[in-house]
Amino acid sequence: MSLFRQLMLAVALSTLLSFIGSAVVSLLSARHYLEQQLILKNEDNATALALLISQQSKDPVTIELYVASLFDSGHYELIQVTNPLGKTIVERQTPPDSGGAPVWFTRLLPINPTPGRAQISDGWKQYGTINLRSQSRFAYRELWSGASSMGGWLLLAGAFSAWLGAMIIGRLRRPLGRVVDQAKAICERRFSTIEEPKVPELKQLAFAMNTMVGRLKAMFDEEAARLEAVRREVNYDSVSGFANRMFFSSQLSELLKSEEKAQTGSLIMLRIIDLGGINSRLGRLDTDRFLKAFCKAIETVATTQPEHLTGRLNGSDFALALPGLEDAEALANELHALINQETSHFSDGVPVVRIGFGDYQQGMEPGPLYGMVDSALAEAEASGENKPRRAHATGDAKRPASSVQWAEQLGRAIENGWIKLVGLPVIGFGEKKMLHQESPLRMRFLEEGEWVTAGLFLPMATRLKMTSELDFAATELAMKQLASQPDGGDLAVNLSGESLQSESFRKKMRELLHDHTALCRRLWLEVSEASVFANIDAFRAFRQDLMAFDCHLGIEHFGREFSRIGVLHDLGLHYLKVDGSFINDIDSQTGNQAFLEGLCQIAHNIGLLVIAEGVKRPEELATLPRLGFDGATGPAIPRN
Amino acid sequence: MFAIAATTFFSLAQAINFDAEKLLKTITLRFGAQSTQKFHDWQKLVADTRAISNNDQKLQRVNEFFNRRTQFMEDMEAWKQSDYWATPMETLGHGKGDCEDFAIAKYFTLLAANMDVAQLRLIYVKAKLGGPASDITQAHMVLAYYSSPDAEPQILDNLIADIRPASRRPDLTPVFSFNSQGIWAGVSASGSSKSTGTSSLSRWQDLLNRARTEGFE
Repeated sequence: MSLFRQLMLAVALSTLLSFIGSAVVSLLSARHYLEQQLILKNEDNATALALLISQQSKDPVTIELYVASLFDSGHYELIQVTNPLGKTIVERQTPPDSGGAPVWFTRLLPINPTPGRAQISDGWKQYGTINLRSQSRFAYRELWSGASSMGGWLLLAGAFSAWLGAMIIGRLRRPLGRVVDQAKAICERRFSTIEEPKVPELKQLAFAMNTMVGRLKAMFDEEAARLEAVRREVNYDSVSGFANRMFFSSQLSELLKSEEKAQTGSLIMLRIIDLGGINSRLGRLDTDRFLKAFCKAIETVATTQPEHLTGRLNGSDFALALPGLEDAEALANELHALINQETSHFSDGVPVVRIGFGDYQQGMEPGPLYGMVDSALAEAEASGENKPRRAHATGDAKRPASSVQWAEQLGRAIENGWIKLVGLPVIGFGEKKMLHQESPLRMRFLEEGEWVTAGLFLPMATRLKMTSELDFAATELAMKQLASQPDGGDLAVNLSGESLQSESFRKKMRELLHDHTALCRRLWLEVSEASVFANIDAFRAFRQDLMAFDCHLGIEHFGREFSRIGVLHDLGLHYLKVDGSFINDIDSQTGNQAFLEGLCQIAHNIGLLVIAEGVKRPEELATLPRLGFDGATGPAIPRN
Repeated sequence: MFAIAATTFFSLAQAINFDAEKLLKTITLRFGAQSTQKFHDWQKLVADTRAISNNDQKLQRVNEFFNRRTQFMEDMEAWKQSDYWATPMETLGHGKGDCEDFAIAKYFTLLAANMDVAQLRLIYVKAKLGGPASDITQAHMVLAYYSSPDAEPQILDNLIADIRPASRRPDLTPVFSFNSQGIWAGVSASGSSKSTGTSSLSRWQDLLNRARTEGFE
């Protein structure tokens, strides 16, 4: 029985007992009082009658008349005159009457006054004895009406005290409910604090829980900060804060392979002219300041582009990858101008930078791409021209259709169901050998057309704000697939952050999940890290929506915004997929090994599964379990 | 519940018992150590009278005991109250009393000596002082004994020391008679109750109550 129910019961019982107790006591005392009054009345009337008869002539008719006239007043049950030998001379009797009170009541509270007795004398001689019993009807009627009105008041007061009790318990219930919710949230690995209630005991409880949550948070943040430092040290250049060559290359090669990334983009390379000379001219301190101004200019321009990557390839070489940007000339010019402007203080008008840029398409290897842009840079250097240089494209540049055509094509494909999910296995290292199938969407734009990957249509869909339609279609497909394969494995579906912003999308998702509640257990939904942090409020709201269902929720391509993991701890997620750029050559990257080991630990502490993405080689795969990963996916995992 | 108990007592309460220790304690507490002897005398009287089977002789002993030892005195003088009904122990201890104190003391003593309550009556009478021809009348109380329900009663009072049949007492006119038959038990039920209160009891019931607290059972 729940605590509240027990409290309620205790209140009800004690109220009932006290009311019944007081009712019984007052009824008993009322009965006693009435009985005493009847006894006195019996005595008095018997004495009065006896005195009267004693003074009169004793012929039977006279006596009968006296008795009858008293009896006929209606207030007597019995008036009897017996002679000294016990023989009845006159008797008047009516049966006892309950006066309208129910029989059970008169049995429960009987009123039995002793009859009045008095002696009748005739001169010196005894004439007889009077026995007189008053009618108890009036007493019963009084007692019954008293009991009924008391019952009424009891009900009224009982109802009032029940209401009062319910109010008090309600007052207790709210803060206690919050504490319980907090405890539940902790079980679901959401660590949130609550307002401390006013009730002292609950206040202590809430205080203890809040303190515990606070400690966990602090521990968490501390660990995250330490790991972030490791990550930065390993992957980033300390002066510029840009990715180092190793990490940049790794990110670039993800960019060139991932299905979800834009299929084309630009790579810009920058080289500082004569860094050694600048160093000897300015000194170490000013050279650092110069480099900072230089990098800030790059950062300023780069942040105007989504999903950009910045890197410092070596002392004087920098690189900027801009997925989705078709022609970087304008941006390169802007960059050139800004750098010259920002560093003029150090350079005295002498050009400080050469810039080369070029386009890429997915499928290119990082090496040739570097080579291509590098040669443009070399050309720029050689020519001495003070402006960015375009690299010669190697492949044939497929020109995409216009936005309007895209919108039509996407709409038609969804409408006709020209979409399908492919299955990329995600294996587990623990008891479960198969965690789920990642199910990226494929689409064709003609009835019998070629299936194209998300990288081709997703950037356009994002720009056209059509991701919610795609995401919903993909989830619907996944549900169908789950339903058709009752014994099949789980499926994971990618959602984009932009979709989560849409109220109608979330509503449709809720309805879809509600219609397939039993299947939710096998559905994994994931959103990329960049999307989550760009749409954190929408993501939170979506998380709330999913509370009612069993599905898993995770973040993919995780790792770059590791320092913000603190934001995630109270979301109650189920898993993280660590971005492939961290997994690249993990077997030899001891620095990233330390970072990932820490990441796994911290994630396990808040109950998250950790899955490695983009595993390419068996050696990489072999390293992962040791670091604490729970699963992996990528080209090294064979498709069945 | 009370009522059932009361009916049970009703049939049993023919004679009155007493708790000698309690009575002694009551009397010495109120009237000092010299009353102890009076009590022992009374106790002996009761014991002796119990042993006698002849009712006339019982009456004789008890009548003599109180008429000889008790000095007649108006209530106002004896008890500083206009009409006070003294209990048997008060009359015995004080050694003073008016007509009803005599009658009551004899009544209780006879009951204690196993006399049947049905044979005894306390009677209000109109007494002509100084003989039947006198014009001076006074309210008076006597104790009457009926050898059988329809017999002529024997009268015990303090005006004339010896016991005479009613026909030989032309100076007395009976008005109303009563005894404790039925009441004694009835009073036991209500008498202990505080809620009723002594003031609402009749003089007779009040006396029965007080006798009970003194040690009569």
